[in-house]
Amino acid sequence: MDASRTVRLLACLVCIAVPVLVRAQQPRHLAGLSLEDLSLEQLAEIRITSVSRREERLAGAAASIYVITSEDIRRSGVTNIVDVLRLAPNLFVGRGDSNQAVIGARGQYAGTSNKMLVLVDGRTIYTPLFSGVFWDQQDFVLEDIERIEVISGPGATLWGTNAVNGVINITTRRAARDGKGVAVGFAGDFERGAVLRSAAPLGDDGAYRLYAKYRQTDERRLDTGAPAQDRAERALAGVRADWERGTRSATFEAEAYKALVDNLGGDRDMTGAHVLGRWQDELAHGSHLRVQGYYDHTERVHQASFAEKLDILDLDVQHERPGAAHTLVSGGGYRAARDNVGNTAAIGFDPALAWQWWANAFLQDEWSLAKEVQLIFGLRAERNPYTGVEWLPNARFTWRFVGEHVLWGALSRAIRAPSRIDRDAFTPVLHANHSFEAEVANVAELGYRAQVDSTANVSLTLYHHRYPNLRSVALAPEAGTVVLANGFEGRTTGLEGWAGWRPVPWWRLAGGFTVMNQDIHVRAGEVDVGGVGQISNDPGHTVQLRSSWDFGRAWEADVAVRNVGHIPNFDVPQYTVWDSRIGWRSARGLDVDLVVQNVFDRTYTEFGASGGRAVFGRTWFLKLRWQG
Amino acid sequence: MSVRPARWLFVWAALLVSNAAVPAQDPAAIEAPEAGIKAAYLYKFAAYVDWPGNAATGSQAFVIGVMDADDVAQELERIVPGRSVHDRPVEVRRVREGQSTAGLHMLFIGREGDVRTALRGPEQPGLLVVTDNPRGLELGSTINFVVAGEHLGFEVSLESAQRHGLRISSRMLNVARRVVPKA
Repeated sequence: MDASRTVRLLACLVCIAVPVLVRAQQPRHLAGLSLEDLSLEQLAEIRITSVSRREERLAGAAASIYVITSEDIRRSGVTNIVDVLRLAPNLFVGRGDSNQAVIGARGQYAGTSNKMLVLVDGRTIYTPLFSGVFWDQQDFVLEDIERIEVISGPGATLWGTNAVNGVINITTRRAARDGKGVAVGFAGDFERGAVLRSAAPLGDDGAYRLYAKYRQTDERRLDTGAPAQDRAERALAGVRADWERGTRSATFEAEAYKALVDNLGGDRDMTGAHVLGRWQDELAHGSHLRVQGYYDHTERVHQASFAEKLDILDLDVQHERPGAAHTLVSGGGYRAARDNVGNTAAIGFDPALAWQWWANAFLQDEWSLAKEVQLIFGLRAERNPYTGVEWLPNARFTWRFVGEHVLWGALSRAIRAPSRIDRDAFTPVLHANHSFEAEVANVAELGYRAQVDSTANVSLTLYHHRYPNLRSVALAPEAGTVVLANGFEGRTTGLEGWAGWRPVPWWRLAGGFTVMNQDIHVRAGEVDVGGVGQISNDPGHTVQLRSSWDFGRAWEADVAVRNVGHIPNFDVPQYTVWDSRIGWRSARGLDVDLVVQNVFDRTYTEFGASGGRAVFGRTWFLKLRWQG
Repeated sequence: MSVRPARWLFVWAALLVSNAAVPAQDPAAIEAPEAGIKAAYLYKFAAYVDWPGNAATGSQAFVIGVMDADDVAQELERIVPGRSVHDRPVEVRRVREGQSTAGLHMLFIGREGDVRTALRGPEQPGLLVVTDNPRGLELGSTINFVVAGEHLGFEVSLESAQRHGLRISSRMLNVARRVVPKA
């Protein structure tokens, strides 16, 4: 790492920070004051933390949804999105090293976790290259994340192909007119970085914020003791503007990033940028229309492997018409991509330059049969460039049988459409298979969710997924070569649950677990040479518990423990890790966090084959955050 | 390796310094759950409304009825012990659809509630009806909650207030997002 440059950068950040800090004057906590002590004027100024009406209804729908709030993120003290997603008990997070991570739900994480759909403010971030997410290029200003909805299980009718085992929906805050800035700096024995954000009104009805983040991480060791070569440096900067007049609102976002990541197989350089626009309005009879479009550009260079330039244009329309008995949600979308992958000796794509397009249309009826009973029927048709039109139906019910206790159930069909790696990729031994089919999942779910009282909530979901044609590796006609095929079938049955409890206002407990049983095998008449471990290589259970304790006027203490089961094929041992945070919040807007991850210094590994996975030991950092 | 963020952060810095000249406003940037804000509003509304004659005087409790909003009722039940409205202790009563609203001073009908059915029949003088429905005022309520962006506001129908014999203070009308005038 270039030290002088780092110094120069920090100096620059300090200069920028000054105007932000100067404004850090107003207290922003309730500081002992209760809502009922506020005036009507003050009440009208309070921000609603719960999700908005429409979203609340979606979140209250028949699905296994865990919501990570901005407060959860703040209390965790973490600095990157991968650690944030650990807060959702229905997700599996496995890091290969400091940069490479696999994040999924309900199994099939091996390699790329290609059955999760991940969206940021409505922008899909999974890559059409392999239908997974390159988490090493994703970074966020965590202070501006409003909430993250994590849905385990299919969400294909509303969200589309790839929402097979789950959906991660990241929503950032609207730009506020309060002109508040944030400056964050963190540094410790493994990582360091800074975040800056400023905000200001824009005209009479709008506001915007500008933000930037820089983060640098050091090198770890592999389980073999060799250097993991995973040093990394990331920077991003962006803007978000929002306007609102009456029932109309509009949003504009733009962001650019650069990441330089060392990697065992060769360094990786990533740059990218996107712009997004969204417009919404209430029409007659309370119906609601949303139109959104974005353009996203990514460049990835994997030294000694491949280089990709990807451009995506996406347009999306959604309309919702609420009624006394039936609420109709309908929509459509179109996406075009230009993907140019430079072929090398290691891996090639045929064609190297692909122009592809997707289109979809869906309709969902939410039928309130009685006050306590709701039925949901939905169907989506989605066209992909490889298998044409796929149908994605679902049927759901919710039954509010007493008070805030809800029983729900769902039957759905979801697919993972082939991606370029399935159809177009070739190596000296792998031939492209131009007839690889879409992977199908037929899913049944039964769930119970309750707000027991104002201090406790609980959720429990039982699921059964059937996969008739999962990806396998078959022998090709030419001796010594293979092709990808749909030769596996199988089923996954599991239970996932979580609960939150706040027995006293100053202490909160949150915990959750997953248990899962997989049976995946070669279909009759098929031959697989890749091994079932390429699909079924997941921990049988995960457990986590977090405690958040407030003491005195300004102190906070957080402790989290998680246990992840043995990963069979990689032979990653079961592990238990404790994380902690001590926070101090001054009345003048300054927060100080001391975060220690892996407190007891249990060296452990999370994911990947031996010789390629990094060992994680204890790390600590101090974080200063000034808001005003 | 080097990202060279300094170069392009510079542009950002210039923008930031330019907007630093904008004075910071301070609408208390406090966050709270929607049910809590609603409960606080309901409790507060009572202080800005005059009830006719002796409807809200005497030693009996001031009764707030809550229909189809258990979360709001729960918050209210937490707020009211030890507090008073018009010098009377406050009582929260959970009301089901079809049950009598006699004896209530205020009735809140939650988002899930059927306002039209609940308000069927002759108007009850001295009952302040608060709703959480896009057409609440049109369906006959006096105060209706509206979500505007991230904030919770309310609108007031003076016409409905008049029909129920209630007087709304001008301070409350100043905060209201919309006021339907008297007939």
